[in-house]
Amino acid sequence: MKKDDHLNLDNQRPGLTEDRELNHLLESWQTPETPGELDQRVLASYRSHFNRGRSWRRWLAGSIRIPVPIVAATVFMLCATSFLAVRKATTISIQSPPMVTPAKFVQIPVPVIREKIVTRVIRPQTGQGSPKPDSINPARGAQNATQSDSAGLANFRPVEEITIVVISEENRNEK
Amino acid sequence: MTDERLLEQAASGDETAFAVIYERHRSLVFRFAYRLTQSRETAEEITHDCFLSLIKEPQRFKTDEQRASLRTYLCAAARNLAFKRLRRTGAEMAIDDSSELLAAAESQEPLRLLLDAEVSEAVRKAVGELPPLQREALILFEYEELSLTEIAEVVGADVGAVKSRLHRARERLRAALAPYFKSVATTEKCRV
Repeated sequence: MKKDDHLNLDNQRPGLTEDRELNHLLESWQTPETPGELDQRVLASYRSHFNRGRSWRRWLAGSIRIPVPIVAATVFMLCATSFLAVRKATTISIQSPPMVTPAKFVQIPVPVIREKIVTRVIRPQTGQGSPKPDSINPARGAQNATQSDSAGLANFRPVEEITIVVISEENRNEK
Repeated sequence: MTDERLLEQAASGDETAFAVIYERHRSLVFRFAYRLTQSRETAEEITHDCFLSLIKEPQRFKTDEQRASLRTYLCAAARNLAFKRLRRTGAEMAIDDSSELLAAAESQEPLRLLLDAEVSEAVRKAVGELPPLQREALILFEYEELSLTEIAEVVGADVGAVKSRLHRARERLRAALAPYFKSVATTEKCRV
């Protein structure tokens, strides 16, 4: 008997196997067969367990089928893009960086010339009451010119804008 | 294919592998659970939970290096589930199949079958009245034919303790079933 065999292997006390009557009695207790609905229940639970876990498992260990030409084209494009990117980066690094001189500010004093505005009133020559022009007496005119040159024209500077006001005789008399 | 390999496949969703494991071990687990709890419904629940926990947590079997086989692992799982239920119900499990057995025996008419049913019922009752630790040792040894080493693994005790429990269980059974020894012998003689 198998029971006796493993008893002997385990150095079992011999008294346990000698009780044939008891063994025979124990054998009379039969158990019911495993019910068929239990099999269905266990398998249904197994399926539902894996269906429940499938939704998140799909994200972790899911796979999709992609045609080989698409994969090849994608890989080629990736390689080309990477190559171009690396190449461009290398070209840029070879070029010497442009010289950038720092801006230097120097203050230079500039003399400011202030212009003088001289307003002169020139009256036209008249016959009476007015002083005779120098042209009438050239000697005196030349003398006056010399005096004025020597006296007043040293710092003379012509004005840029001359305003000429002509006053007629009639208007003068009215005033 | 080994149980370990099948379990790996079953844990990754292979239903066929799971079905093979289930076919191999379901009767052992169900019988053991039934004899421990003496209730068909409870035994079904235990068997169901036992196999489902195996799928939910297969690493518990893999990491347990002390386990000799899946058989002992399943027995241990069934034992834990049964004891959990026994504790919950205060060790008062429903004895729902005895009447069915007697009815079946009566319907098959002859006196011998009736006597067998009576003896079977007496044995069931006597085993059921054993203390849980003695009962499980006796069931695993006598009915499931596990070796003492395997029983020690299942119950988490040493071989000496298992021997001792077995011896005391048999002594109790001898005392409880004494009236039936003669009748069994007589029946055997009649059969011969």
